Amino acid sequence: MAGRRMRPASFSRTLTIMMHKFRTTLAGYGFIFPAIVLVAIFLLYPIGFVIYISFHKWGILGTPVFVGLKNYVTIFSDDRFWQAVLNTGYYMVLAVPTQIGLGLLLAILVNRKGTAGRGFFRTIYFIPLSISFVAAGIIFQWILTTTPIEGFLSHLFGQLGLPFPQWETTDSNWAMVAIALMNTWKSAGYAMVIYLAGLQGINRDYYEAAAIDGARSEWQVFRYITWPLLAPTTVLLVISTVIFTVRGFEPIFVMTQGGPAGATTTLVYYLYEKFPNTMGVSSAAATFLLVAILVLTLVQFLASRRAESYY
Amino acid sequence: MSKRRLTLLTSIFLLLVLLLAACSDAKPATKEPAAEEPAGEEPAAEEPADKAVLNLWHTIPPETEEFLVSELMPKFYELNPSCEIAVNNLGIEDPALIRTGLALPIDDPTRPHLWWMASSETGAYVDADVLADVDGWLNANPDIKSNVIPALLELSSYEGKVRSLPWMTNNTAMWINTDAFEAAGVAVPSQNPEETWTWEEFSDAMQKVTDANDGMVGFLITTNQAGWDFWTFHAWYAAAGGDLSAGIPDVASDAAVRTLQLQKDLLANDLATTGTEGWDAAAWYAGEVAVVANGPWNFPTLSTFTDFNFTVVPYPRDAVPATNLGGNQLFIGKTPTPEQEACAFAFGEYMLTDDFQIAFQKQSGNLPVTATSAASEEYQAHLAAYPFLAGFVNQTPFGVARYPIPEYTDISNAFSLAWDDVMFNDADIADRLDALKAEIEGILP
Amino acid sequence: MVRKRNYGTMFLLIVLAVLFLFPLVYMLGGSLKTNQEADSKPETIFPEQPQWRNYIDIFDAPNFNILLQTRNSLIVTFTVTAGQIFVAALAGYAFARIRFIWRDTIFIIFLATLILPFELIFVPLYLMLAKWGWINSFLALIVPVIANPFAIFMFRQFFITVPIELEEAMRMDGAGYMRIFLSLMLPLSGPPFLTIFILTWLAEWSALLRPMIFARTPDMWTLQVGLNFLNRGAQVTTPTTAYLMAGIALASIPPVVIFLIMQRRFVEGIAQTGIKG
Repeated sequence: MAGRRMRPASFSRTLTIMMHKFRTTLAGYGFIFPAIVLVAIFLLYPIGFVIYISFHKWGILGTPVFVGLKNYVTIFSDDRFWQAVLNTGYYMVLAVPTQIGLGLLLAILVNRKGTAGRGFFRTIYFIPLSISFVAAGIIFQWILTTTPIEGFLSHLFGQLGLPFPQWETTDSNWAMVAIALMNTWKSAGYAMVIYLAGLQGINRDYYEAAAIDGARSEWQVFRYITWPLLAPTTVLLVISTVIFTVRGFEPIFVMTQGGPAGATTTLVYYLYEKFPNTMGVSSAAATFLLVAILVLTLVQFLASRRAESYY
Repeated sequence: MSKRRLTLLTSIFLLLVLLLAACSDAKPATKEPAAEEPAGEEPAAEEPADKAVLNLWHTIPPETEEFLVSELMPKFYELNPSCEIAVNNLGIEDPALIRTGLALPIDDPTRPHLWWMASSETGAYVDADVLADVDGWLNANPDIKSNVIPALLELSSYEGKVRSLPWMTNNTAMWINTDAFEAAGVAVPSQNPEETWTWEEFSDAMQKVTDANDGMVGFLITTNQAGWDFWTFHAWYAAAGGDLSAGIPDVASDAAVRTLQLQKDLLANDLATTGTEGWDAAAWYAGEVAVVANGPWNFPTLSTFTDFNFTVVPYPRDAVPATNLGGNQLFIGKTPTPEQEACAFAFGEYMLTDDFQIAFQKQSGNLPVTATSAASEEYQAHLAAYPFLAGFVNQTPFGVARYPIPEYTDISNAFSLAWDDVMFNDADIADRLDALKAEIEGILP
Repeated sequence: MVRKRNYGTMFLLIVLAVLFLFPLVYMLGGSLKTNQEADSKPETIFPEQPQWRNYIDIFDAPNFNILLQTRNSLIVTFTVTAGQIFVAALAGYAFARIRFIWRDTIFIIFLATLILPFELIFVPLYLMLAKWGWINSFLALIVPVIANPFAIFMFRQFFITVPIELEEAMRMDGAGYMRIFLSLMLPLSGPPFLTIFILTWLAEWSALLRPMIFARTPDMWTLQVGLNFLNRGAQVTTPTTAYLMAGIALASIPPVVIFLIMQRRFVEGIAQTGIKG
């Protein structure tokens, strides 16, 4: 309708359009009414509160004292904060590609025609989602522990004459690997299912065309047909996985409590450590996290739009 | 999703719920709330209007809590029939949770009136003025006040006044695998803190015990847990003559450096291993380490442990004998009505009676807080039946407490990073502690 | 050629299956050891003598009132799931098909709320719920999570893929938005329904922090909260590793059962959700 000039004679038409718009808006808000009320009360209000407190000094007890940007200055000049940011990035790099990559691999394997018991395997890979993060963290910590009592895996490696990283003590870089390992085990099944849907949605015609064009190896088919056609799925998975991984708290809380020597203190854990005495500082870091992820998501989204325009 | 399957699933669900509701024996540690449908209300106070209801928030371990509720609370109600205490186990030891509860308006029925907490939070509570006048009450009851072990009164104080009542106390001491010591030809140290082993004797013992016993090292060094590690550090630091007059240890002092040096040397010489959960004695039970520093609350396990011979002895002494005092307090908060306040203090009084202290500590494994209960026949008989307990009890007069300022947790966290750095990343001890001291100075107000 | 490839695939599938199952097998093995053995002999997978009575003993553990807590878990889980689906279906349709002012802005704000986890917002939430007297009731356990932006997102993605011609046909018959929703969209929405059902069900069943903080008395605890007391995190007085594993095993039975019942439809459901892009 844009661009069309309104002639005075079509006043009634304008009215109709406005009425229609009004009715649409009314209908729209009617449908989202429960959602909006609930989100506003139980999500937006607490988040708003957190942002508000980030400009105050508060210990839960007592009244908040306005301090302007002081908390932000505190965190930005805190080495541990930047270390936490780095750790979060490290964790993302470890956890997101592995989860999605493994999911893709599993989906491809399970999708192959003629494989016996596909449903059975599919179930096995998905079962870890039924276990809670806390339970999974406890189990993995128990399996991977190296000190003071050598856990199963460390012992096994020892028997085989292989070195096992002392992730709880001196090889602190491996601590994040341990957490990412647990996270991958727990979440790859979900990525697998999403990719399965994506794979099944690819039109067989593409594959036939490729065969005619002389595509020989599996790898070629994958690289030039499957992978590009899965791109929208991948983008979606990456964005949502990043969000859900970064906000992860329970794995770290259960397995490493931010250690050793702060090696697994991600932003969320750094925040938690500031409870309850310095809620203001904690909230400043939370606000930073919120803004950072929003920006990151936006960047990912725009980048994918650009890439998509090639297809 | 077919309608049929949906109906099937819904009916299975409803059936399950009905079944469970029917045959679940709700054994609540407290009274049940009135309604359970989504239109639920707050926990109903269905008693007659003249009962004063108090909420007690705690994290007492489950077995002891059950004992408290089934054996001790009924006796309290006999003495104070107009009081009702709702015992709530919080599940996680999180000061933030208690503070959140306290942030509610004073007449909110779900607000905690009594709570079990370490004394470390005292500063924050005083600043926010949420505590009842315990100091005044104690001064008005001098016989009760003089019965409490002095070191514990001090631990409960902040800015000159007593702010809470000690509920139980503990400290950590050295659990010794005596079989391992015997095999190494090392004498078991005395249970008298003033005559017990010295630091040199300790290092020596660690060497000998590690050499003589295959697959076992001498000591367990704890890492990764700010709360636990900083707490046990206090013991070594004080033993080395460390100064605590400022409340917080002087982490750049000689005493602190020597403490870290001692532990680091053990680790570097493979005489010790590390554990990431300080209170976890699994390695000692399994015979992987000969000595751990741990507390008396493990009594239920220790009292029936027969895998090897063991005892408990004090920390090695250096300049002086020392240990780290811990425990939990009964905090009495401000209450809206005088009846509730009377009940709160009545509970506090009951908690300090010999009957309560002896029974509770025998069950929980912690140590009594009053002189008369500790000296009582019953408790002495208990000690005689379990000789290893003397290792803890004898240390109490030499214990040092943590400084209850609000910034304690932050300082603790900073310390833990420095500690882990030294133990794992071979940081230079003096340098790292200097850096830590600067950090602490930045944290302190 | 095809057969050869198949063996390769089978081999990989089996190896991966073993790797995936191992932690669960180890957990089950650990649950049958004695508590001491579980702590001191982690190098064995299976116990020397299976302690089947572990599974009976944990029923006696104080604060682990398994029947009551399971009932609470079921109530919370099913109600939240139903609520989420209801709210998300309505909102998802609106975001997909109704052009109302500020629609996209609101949608983005909804998604942005997913970024911060519960741990960071529980303080203001708790204070608010306490003020309303909801603490320690099912209201606090259920209502705050009924709005799930991720679920709304899923429904929206699905409804976008419904051919617009169908809708237009109904529009020409004079149908309003509600009628289109009820007679066209809802019947078709099996796939996102199933997807959200499973994901939310699993997430709610394993939720720990929220039920623990919002419940004050043991009779309002859910299963996960009760399980937490077997955890050797807090300063427990006795080793409990085997009991803990047994508790985890028991608590995992309902989710696994639910998943096994729904899983085939679930995978089909995802395929049609349109979430793949």
